[in-house]
Amino acid sequence: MTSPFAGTGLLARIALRTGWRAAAAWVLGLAALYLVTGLSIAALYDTPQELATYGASVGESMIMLTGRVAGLDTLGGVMMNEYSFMVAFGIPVMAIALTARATRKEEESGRSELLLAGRVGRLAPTAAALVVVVGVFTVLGLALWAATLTVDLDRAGAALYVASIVAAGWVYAAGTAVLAQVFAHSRTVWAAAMSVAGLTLITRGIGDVNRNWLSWTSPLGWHGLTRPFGESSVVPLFVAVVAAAGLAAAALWLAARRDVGQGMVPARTGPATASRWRASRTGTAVHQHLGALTGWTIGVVALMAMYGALMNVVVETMMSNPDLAVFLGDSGTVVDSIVQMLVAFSGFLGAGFALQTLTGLRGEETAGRLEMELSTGRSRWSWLAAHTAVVTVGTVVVVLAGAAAFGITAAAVLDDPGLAGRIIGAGAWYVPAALVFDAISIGLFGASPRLQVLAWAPFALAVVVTLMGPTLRLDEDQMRLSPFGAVGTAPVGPVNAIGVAVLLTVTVVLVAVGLAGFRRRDVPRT
Amino acid sequence: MRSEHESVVRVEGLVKTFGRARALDELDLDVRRGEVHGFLGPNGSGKSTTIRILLGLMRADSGRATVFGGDPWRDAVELHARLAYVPGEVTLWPRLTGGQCIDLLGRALGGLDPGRRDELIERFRLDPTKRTRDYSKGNRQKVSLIAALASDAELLVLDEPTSGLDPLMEQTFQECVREAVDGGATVLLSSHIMGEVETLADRVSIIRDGRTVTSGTLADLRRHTTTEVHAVTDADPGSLGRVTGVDGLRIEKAADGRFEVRCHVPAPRLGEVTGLLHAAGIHTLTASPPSLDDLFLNAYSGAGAATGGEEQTGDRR
Repeated sequence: MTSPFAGTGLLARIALRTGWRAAAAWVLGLAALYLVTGLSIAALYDTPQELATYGASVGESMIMLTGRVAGLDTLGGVMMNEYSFMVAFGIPVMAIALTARATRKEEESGRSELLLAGRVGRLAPTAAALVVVVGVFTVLGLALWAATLTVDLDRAGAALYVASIVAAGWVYAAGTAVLAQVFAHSRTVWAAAMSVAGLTLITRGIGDVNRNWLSWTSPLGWHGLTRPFGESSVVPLFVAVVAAAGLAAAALWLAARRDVGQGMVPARTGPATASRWRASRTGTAVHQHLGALTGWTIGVVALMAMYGALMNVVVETMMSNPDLAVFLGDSGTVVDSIVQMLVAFSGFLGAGFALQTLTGLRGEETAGRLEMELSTGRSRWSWLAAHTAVVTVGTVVVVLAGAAAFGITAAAVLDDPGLAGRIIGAGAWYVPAALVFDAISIGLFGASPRLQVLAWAPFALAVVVTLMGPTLRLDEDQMRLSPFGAVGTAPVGPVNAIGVAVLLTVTVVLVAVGLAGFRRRDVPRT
Repeated sequence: MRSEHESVVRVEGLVKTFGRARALDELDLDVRRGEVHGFLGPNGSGKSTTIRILLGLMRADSGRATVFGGDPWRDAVELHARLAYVPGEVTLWPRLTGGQCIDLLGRALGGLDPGRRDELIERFRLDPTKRTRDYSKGNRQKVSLIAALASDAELLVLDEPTSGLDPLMEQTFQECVREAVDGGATVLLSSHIMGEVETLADRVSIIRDGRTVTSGTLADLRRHTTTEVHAVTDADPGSLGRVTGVDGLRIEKAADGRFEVRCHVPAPRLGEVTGLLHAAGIHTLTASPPSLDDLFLNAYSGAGAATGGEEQTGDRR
């Protein structure tokens, strides 16, 4: 009997040939960011005294987002702490994106079936996807390692640090591969994997803040627990590698037992007829995005409510540490700064929803459904306008739901009823920042559809600038170039009315460009 | 009964369910070495599910399926080394060219004959330098067909392979299948194009609702159906009504004193009927066998008309 892995090499080569661009973008983006972080931190904290002040200034406030980083009095520890946002969000998303694309998306398209009918074993598609994604993370590790050489870090610590990032990526990739066996559609795989990743972020946050066992339930927790620049330990690294291997084995075990093209969850049937509302122009648009909106809203509310609920732990820890309170002067400002960060987070998630949903419109076009819809009495203008309206409302819902969940839980645990209103009000100011990304995507879709996917680039840039601006020593004017900086610093500081006005104007202009372009261009443009 | 031939594909009592839906319900299929076997059935009757089970992509709930005597699920890779598959809906890698895709598929099929590959590209008039996202459905299908036909496979599994091809390419496809069979290949051809099946298939199996309705050579199928006879005779062949199986008999006296006769006659009774007509003095005679379309429409619609031994009733038009 030939091996069920036959053809793995061929499939891996195909995956690399067709997917190297996305992989290269992730590796280069993340490694470049680490390099810049390192250079700017090394220049900023060039004496032990300065490093000591860093450790004191960080305190407890951000731990629920970034995890507890050991060795904050070393350059490596400071860099790890500054880069921890990128690890917490970038690594899981990179793993999910690359794995879902290499597994379920290929199968959904029918390409896997075509290859599996050849001399290709049943396990080859999953095995090839894992080999490629694991390889890409290993390359990322090498790139990060190269970046650590540019600054004077503890070499052993740097090696353990990079290894723990790579291992976390492996775990998320293998976990996504398991979900890709369970669910028949890549959209569902994405949603499920992002939910699980969000959960691991939350358990790591709670565990690290409370210093308890919950940190051990999360791949991000294992990354932090190696404490590469403190009292280092390789045990969590082994745990991660074993978990990745176990999940990969589980994915292969499932792949060996299921039908190609099917999930483990049987497809449900639905109603045989469409109601008047469902068949109407707006109804079609609403229903198309309702699933994504529900998923994003649930995710945002869960994440933000968790952070809100943790606010009292943050405040208590700071109050119980008189030195810290003295150093920080007013504990209120630290609370405020994390509040502002988290409100901006709702804005990121709203923009993420919009970009993902609007990319789906392009999917409608390439799948040929758009021409069918437009061949009816439906005008192009009204089709795109209906989708724009629905996605815009959805973006507002996601941003405000996140701010509300955060505000209400934080107000409850801190026993400060006024806080809820302040936070929700601040969330509203981030709506224009999120909407600008709707507009970029719509503008590209109308004017130059093949480039629509590039709308993610300014978003990624804006997130990086907002999260890492201080690390990268960007000044206030430079921070304002990110839409999330342009709206001001509510609820801590003032709202930038001019910035909001500019954002709204840009939004309107880009949407108009999109609508006008869509009326003129060929459909479909494949 | 089956001792005189070798089965390449053998399926007995195959059952496959998806949740509560029963896609295959005790399906039987027998494809013999060296034949083109037409595999027919209405949409959703289970053709593609059967093919996916034969390719080991899906596992049957019960029943037996063998390909080259092996188990398609357990021995998938060995069996695939001897077969090539063309699906009805071909999705390729949008950024690669048609030529690159042919080679990728060729690698998965264990290598292509380069001369044959180029010859087929020529014959199917495919531009191998175009990116596949710019291809029409028919051109994507050509890519898959060229890879399969250039692969020297013993068994070609074709699932509606020509649904996007123009009539000229359809012609080319038929020639290529003929050549493959002359070279010793066996073909399982699922198709809705009656002309294609009629030209190519040695035997056909018709399935409906996951069950085999009928199976046999086209001559077999025809034998069990009735021929439409239209004659003008000098005398009244009234005794026709007493021949068993003759149906829908209408005799009208025309203005010129002759008799216009119409009836449906089962194939085994044709001799007897023409004898009676001859005795009545034939002036004109046309006997039209049922078209394949009629055969299939009957089988598809569930009239059961094409099955052996059953009597034909009613007007089929």
